[in-house]
Amino acid sequence: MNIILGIFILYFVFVFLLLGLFLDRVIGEALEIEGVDVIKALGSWLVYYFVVDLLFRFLIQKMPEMSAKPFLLLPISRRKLSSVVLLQTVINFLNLFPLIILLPFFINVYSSFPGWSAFPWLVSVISMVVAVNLKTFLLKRWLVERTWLVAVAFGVLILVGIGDYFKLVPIRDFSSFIFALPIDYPVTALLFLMAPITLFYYNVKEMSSRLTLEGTSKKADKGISTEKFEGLRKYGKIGELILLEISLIFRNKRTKSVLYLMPLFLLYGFFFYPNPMYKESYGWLTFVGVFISGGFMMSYGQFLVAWEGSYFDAILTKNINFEEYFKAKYLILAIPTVISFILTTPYVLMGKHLFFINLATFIYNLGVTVYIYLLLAAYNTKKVELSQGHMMNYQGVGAKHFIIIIPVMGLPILVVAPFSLFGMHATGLIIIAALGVLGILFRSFILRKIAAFFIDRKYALAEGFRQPS
Amino acid sequence: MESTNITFQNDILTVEKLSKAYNNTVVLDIPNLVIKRGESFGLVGNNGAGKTTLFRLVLDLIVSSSGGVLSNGVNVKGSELWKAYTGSYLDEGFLIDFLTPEEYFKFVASLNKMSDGDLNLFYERFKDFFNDEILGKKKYIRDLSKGNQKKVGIAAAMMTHPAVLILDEPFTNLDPSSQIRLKQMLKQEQEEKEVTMLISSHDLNHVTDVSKRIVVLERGVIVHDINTTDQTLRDLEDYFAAQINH
Repeated sequence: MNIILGIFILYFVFVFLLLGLFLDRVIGEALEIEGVDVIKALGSWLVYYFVVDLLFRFLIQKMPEMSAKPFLLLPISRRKLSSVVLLQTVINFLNLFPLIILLPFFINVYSSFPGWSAFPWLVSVISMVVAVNLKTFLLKRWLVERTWLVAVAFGVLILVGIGDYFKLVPIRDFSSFIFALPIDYPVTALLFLMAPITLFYYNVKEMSSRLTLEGTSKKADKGISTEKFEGLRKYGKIGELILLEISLIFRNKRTKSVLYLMPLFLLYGFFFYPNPMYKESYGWLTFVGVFISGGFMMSYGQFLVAWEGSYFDAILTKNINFEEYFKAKYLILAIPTVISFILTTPYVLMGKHLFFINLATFIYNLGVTVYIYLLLAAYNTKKVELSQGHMMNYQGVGAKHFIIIIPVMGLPILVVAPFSLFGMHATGLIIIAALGVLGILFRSFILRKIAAFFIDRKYALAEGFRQPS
Repeated sequence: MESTNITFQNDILTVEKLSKAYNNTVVLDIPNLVIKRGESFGLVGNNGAGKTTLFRLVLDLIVSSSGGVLSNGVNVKGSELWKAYTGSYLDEGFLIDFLTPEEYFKFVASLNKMSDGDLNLFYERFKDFFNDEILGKKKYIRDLSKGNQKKVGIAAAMMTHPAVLILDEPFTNLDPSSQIRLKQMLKQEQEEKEVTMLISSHDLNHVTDVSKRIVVLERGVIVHDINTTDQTLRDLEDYFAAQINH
């Protein structure tokens, strides 16, 4: 398993390195500028980079206090312990990546810096990277009581992003201005340096006050109240099963972090749509479309049933039959997909054809992709430990989870791309949408078949789940 | 789940030529065993005797190497009918630990179409057993003590007055008063509702008190199958004492 992880990491390091080496040339040729303007152009995108970085870290980064727990009983002052632990998290692996891009770029453009502004600029940018890292911790602690704010912040970000795209909100100019400061006035680098230093101080302060043996263990959620979903009970067993799964998702660290990943899937369009190279490539756009509405289906669906491994015996012995079980599972995957699609309709503002592609892939997801994941679930024989948080926890991931991507993504692309080459874009889309419609119409039949298949597999699954993880 | 719309055969559970082997080691081998409706059936044996394996086969949680179990005349493998009238609790794998006890009970109740009235009767019935430590505490099942978790599991198995009740070592981890209360409830259920009970236990005292028929398993094979009398407790103690001298 770690080999696969290792390969992935090497791949990313390689890609980022290439990016770093050629970034200056790419920017220069794309915008037809050179010299110090290239650096300033990069600066205009840095704010976006840092916002995305913040988001990414918010979802994935482990809180430093976790690493402090084993040392709490030693005779070290809380402040010192906090500082050391914090320093350890800052000097960590994830922080190398921005450097892998930044340093080659810096070396290439070094000669374009006026005066002695080169290192001040570098220091400023790196300070901001560290600052974002530290700010994430502060935000996470502050937001843990106010999770709804995250959704609000998201909405605001999307709006601002669109606003900047249409040149209504001058984010890029602002970013450009900020990061040009250390070039034109090298002394301002000191101001940038202040950011991580003060954030470090605040972090240490917060951490030391909370560093008790009780403080580090996550407080029991104030009973995540699923009251607002109680209405589901009146839909009989299927409603009960859906309610149960909702409780499962919200009350366990690992599943909750999958939920928090959702916004990334919704925003995926921003990586591709603005880029002229992808904008007309229907093959790529299909891939994006499947991802955008199918994000939840893929990230939650890949461990379907395995999430419930610890009480699988209960499911097998209580008065639930598998047909009902799978009808509920279908809805659990389908409803967030519908919500995702609705939330991403604004992408139509970036191109009418985008809406149709996303609509076709959405229907395809509801009628084909979902069944692929339901079938995959029959082979997840390792239960997933729900209490280990964070999506970067690779427990339970096997080769099958990567291989599954091939039919899920590959199939629609294989249908749409060839037709698209001949300019018959609509045909390809209509075919995958039709496949989806068929899948939706024959839902009962297909679910019954899947349930029957599952009943044969249940012994292997139950046995696998009974193993300690 | 007053199993009123199902007619029950007298031979409610039939074990036919049942065997289970792991890696060429036979852990269970029962050529024939018939349990009648309303019987209180106690299963004893040392660890590894095959008690849990037998229960798992009855509940279709594992697949047999040969033979099968018929519940009300229908093979439990390949049919889901038995779930409607069978309540069981074997281990924590039967608990949904991120629910509060009330939510778990509500879940089971709705699966069996129990009304709110029935649910309230259930809470009344188990009030002493819960001893004010389980309901209304706003705690998830995973945060309860082992003993209390067991109580939740046993209660959930019994709450629907199932025609067949299967409990694996229910007395372990319960405090003395709770053990006695449980015995009382089991005996009461037996007399009033004609429930068929399969209970395994390491406690010879409890099992002779609750069960009218006792089967002793040793290394997967039935070595004794007796109707309980005043003499039975002593006989069992002698039997197991003899084991030590091997």
